[in-house]
Amino acid sequence: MNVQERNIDDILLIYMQERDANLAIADQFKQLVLQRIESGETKLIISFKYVSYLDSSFLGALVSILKNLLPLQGKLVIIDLNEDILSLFEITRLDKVFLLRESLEKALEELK
Amino acid sequence: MVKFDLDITGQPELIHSFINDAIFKIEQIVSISDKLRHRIKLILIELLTNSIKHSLISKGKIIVSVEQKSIKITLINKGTSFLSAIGKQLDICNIGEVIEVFFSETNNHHIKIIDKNKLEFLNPYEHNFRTEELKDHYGLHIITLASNCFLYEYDIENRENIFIVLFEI
Repeated sequence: MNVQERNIDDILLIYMQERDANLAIADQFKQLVLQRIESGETKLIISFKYVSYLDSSFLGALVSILKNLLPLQGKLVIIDLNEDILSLFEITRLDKVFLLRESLEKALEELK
Repeated sequence: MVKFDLDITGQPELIHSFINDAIFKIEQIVSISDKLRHRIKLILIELLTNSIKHSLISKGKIIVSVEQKSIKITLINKGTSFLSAIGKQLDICNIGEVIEVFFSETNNHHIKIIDKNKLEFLNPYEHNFRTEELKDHYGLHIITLASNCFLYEYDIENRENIFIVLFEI
């Protein structure tokens, strides 16, 4: 699984660099992020800049990540969604549950 | 009416090209809006992903029927009945009844019983049904919300699961 991470102050930025955010990697991605949360990261930005499609398995992984952050008063911001993936969030009404922002700058504002 | 079918692969990494192929073929026959294209893609992704996750044999077929005002996508794959996941919840139901079933603690759906082996998934927002927002599984929920009608049937004789999704153009 191709993922790039970097820190901006106390914020962890994760770039999903796979074209397909799907069943094959959903669990692996979830475990990676949950490990980061366990290590103390509670402000996360996940970028889907390189992702063409995202399926329900991956959506479930994101929900699981969010559920783990909430009790820690953590925050997760999702950025760089293409139209198809944004449509998925809108149809499931998860655009009202997740913080979705158009850019890294707006995501950083949200977390500072 | 124009029909075409595509053989399903059991490999998640090939879903992307499969879907592009299906959309291309649909658009050769009928013009569809961006919104409908997005929804068809979402549904094809979920039908294929569910097929891979739950079938004994990860092969099957998708049949796309295109008419002037509607598109029908039928997924057929062999395996045990999908209804076995909620079997006991259906035991005491009557035909025509609408019930809430749980595939897991947070994965609830409202279905209408059409007959013993056929049901329709109902859009919770259209019917004001309670639905868990933070589910652990979204596949069926996505297909229900993104389509105009979502049906399931089990063909006992051929041991086939048949999912039918309808869109109005």
